Amino acid sequence: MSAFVVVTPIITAAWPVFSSAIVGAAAALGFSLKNTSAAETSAKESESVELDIKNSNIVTDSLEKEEKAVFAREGVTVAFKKDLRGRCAISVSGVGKSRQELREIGSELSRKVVQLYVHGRVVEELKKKGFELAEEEVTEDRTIRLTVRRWG
Amino acid sequence: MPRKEEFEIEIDKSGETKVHLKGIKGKACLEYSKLLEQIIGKIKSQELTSEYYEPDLDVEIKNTLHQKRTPGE
Repeated sequence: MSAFVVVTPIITAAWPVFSSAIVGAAAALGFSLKNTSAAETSAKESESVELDIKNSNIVTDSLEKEEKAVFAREGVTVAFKKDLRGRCAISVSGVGKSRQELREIGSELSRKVVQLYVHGRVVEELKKKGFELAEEEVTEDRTIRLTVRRWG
Repeated sequence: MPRKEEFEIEIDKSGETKVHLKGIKGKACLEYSKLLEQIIGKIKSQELTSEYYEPDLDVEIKNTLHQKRTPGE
């Protein structure tokens, strides 16, 4: 044994990189990609809550194009976009759901996005340093366990 | 002789990440901690075990055999 390190995630990423974690998280939790205009229509007829992903900083390219991704699952619509402070904002709406239920759905999704973002970064950056992924598993409590190694 | 360096990584469902650095000695431990900080975010805690204090260079001890030669051999 030599050291134990605990690291709290901070997301600093361009939208294309971050959106791949969003797509992965949405798919993992059973959401599918939705047409943006249809999502806006349904949002007007339902309860909605706004959240953001803590410690997120979405770096925008110079084109300043709209960066948004919308997903739906069983009448619940979730929209991810960059807010004015550069954080990733999440809007969750749905008919027949309480604000508390919508908040829980949004929180679960945001945690999954962060987890998958960290997973992607760790695997990619350690591979660049010559480490190979030896083992990977997801435990019952949804923790991702990885073992990477190299011969130094 | 090559030495195995291994990381056991646990990313919990909120993204907080615990890493057990194995087979890494001395200052290399701190360098890897810094790397993890760059990749993931901010170090929340760090615990160095006894292996950290071991030398980080493998010292190869060579025995030189001195033979006495007797005249006429």
